Amino acid sequence: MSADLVVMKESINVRRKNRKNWKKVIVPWLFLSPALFLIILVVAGPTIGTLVLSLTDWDGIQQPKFIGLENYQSLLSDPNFFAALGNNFKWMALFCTVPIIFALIIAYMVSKVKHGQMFYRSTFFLPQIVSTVVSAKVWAWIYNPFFGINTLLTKWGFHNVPMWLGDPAIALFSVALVDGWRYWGFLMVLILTALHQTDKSLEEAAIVEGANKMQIFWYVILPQLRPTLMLILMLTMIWSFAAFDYVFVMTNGGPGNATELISTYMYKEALQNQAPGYASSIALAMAVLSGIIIAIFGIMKKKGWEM
Amino acid sequence: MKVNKWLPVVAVSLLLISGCSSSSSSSSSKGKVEISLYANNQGGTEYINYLQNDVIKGFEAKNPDITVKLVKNSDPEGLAKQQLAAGGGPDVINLNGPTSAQDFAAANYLLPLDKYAEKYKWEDRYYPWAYQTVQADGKQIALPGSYETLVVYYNKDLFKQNGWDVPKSYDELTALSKKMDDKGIIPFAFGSSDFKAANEWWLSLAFNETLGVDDFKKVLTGETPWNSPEMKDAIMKLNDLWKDGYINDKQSQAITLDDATTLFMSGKAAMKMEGTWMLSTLKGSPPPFEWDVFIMPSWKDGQEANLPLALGGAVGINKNSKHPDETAKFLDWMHENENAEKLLQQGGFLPINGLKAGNLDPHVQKSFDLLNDAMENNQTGYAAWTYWPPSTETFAWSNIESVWLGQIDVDTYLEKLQKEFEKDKEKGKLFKFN
Repeated sequence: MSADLVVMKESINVRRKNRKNWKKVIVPWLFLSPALFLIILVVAGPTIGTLVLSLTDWDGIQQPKFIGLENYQSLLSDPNFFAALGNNFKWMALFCTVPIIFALIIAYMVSKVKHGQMFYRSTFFLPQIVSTVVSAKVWAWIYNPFFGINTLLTKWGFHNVPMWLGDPAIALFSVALVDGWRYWGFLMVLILTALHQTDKSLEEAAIVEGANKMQIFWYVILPQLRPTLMLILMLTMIWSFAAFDYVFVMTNGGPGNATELISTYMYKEALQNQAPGYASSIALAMAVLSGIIIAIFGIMKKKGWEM
Repeated sequence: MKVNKWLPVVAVSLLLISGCSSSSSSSSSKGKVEISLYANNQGGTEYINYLQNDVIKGFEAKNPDITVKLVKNSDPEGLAKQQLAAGGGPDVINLNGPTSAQDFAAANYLLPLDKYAEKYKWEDRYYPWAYQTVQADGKQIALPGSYETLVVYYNKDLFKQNGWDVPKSYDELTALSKKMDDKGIIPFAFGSSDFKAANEWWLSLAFNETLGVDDFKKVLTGETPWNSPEMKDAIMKLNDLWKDGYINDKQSQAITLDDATTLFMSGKAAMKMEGTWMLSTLKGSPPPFEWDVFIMPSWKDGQEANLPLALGGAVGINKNSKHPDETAKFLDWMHENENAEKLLQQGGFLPINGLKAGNLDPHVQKSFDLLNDAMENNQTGYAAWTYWPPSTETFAWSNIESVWLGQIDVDTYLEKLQKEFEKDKEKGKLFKFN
């Protein structure tokens, strides 16, 4: 074989190799491109749009007027925003405790059921498959002071029955109760799935060592559930900032602004108060708060918290 | 073959492209012109049926070369606004009232109608006050929709049984409400949990009936501030009505508009303050008792009662419409006497000169007469959704509940209201009185 032929062969091999490498780089991107295109279209585009709009004074009709950071300045001195933010924190505190603890206890109990476990799982999960608006409307009727549960309570001799959705002191909790009623079944299924994946030999070892049920649950089972619980906690915290539907349908932020959340406030500013520019700054504030939560969980994970 | 490998990809891409591309065409293959109209589906089935069966079918029968596509939506103005911003939108722009019409015209979304106004002699058809509210910079930008007011519907049987009379003053109103309350009857059925803007019905009455027509107009033009002592008096009176439990037993924030209607229909509440639009509801599903309407009495001694007037809508033509002539023809038909009379039968009052309809329901006739008498005698006030500037209006109805619930005091509420008014004034959003 002449030297020229060897060089030629080598050159062909290099070209083939380059072509293969090029394929390796391009083909995955080609497969990803539809999804990427959609993400750019429905996530990145609107996000950039929101960012730009938040720097404008716009009534939704006329041309937007660039006002720099004025919307953010207004946001920092807006008592309605902080009232809504306070309600979001109350909402978060409730959802990070009551439904999670409740779901954990019930899931543990259901996991011990030998026969008919599916029945309990389905029953507890049922509220999750009911449309939000339908369940919100039904609960609003239940809470109705003139036709709802109060008429029964009064008949049974209870006096001074609470105004579930009409009393600013309890309205937020009344709505949260309904959302929690729907949410806990979902959490229960997640926890139950995690419970089925725990290492049974550890429980058996603990029994051999003489641990009681409480000790087994606390020292053996719970640590194994930590990744699932941390994920639930993170999702619940993020979703608490996005909570909207139940409040919107049941109280529309009222009475007064007792159940106003950031999301409902943003909606009103955008569509009722004709201030989509200002509403965009509220939307970004929501995104930043959610980002902070994700960052905190990221740091915790880095510091060794198993997730 | 290598080509075969890419064939599905190409096919799917073509499919996607064809799916994404606009397929809307306003001219069908048969050469028919199609114009589109968005209508509010919250206005009750009676209104939608009237629109579909009387207006549209009647128009299509007279104009076989034009079809009208009706799209029902809960917020036709909002939907059109989004589409107009992208250069689209329906041919007929259904607007919430004169304020919206002004905003849409300023954004250059509406086609000036002067050419058609001359052709169809619209100026002669409409009441001048209504026709002028939808003008901007000397141009006709839309046509006025139905006008409406706020009245008190009452259970006549309950009044007769208890020997109660229709109140003639604020004091008589509170005295009557107390009697009702003592009997365990809710004086006024009212709910706003699903539609907080309904609070502005009470605000419209409070300001108009306490200050009177002329003095309240001064507030709307900026001559008198919103936090003046007279305005405070109005809010205090409204606050008293609510805090004494006369407005739905202090639970208006916890029930919906429909719940309140049920309370009235079931006889648990003796009165219901609402707009004349409720006439069609009561006509369609009459309550099991005799009912009637009266004008809310004046809230100030020695002052005549008035009816807060509102224009409940307006219609214009999309600047981008490909068929403005056909759309104008449709608008003209919509408000022709024949259709206006049919709407009147349902309790919808178009501001058209010499409008009369035979065999009118006595309640509709009474409300129509009350309103027309008030207009003749200059006793019409200024309803929020037509005459108040937008930020002021929104702040007013969205925060009055906080005053009732003691979350903010009356002075703070009025101070903030004045600030909102100043913002509106700065942006040139005040109602332009002629």
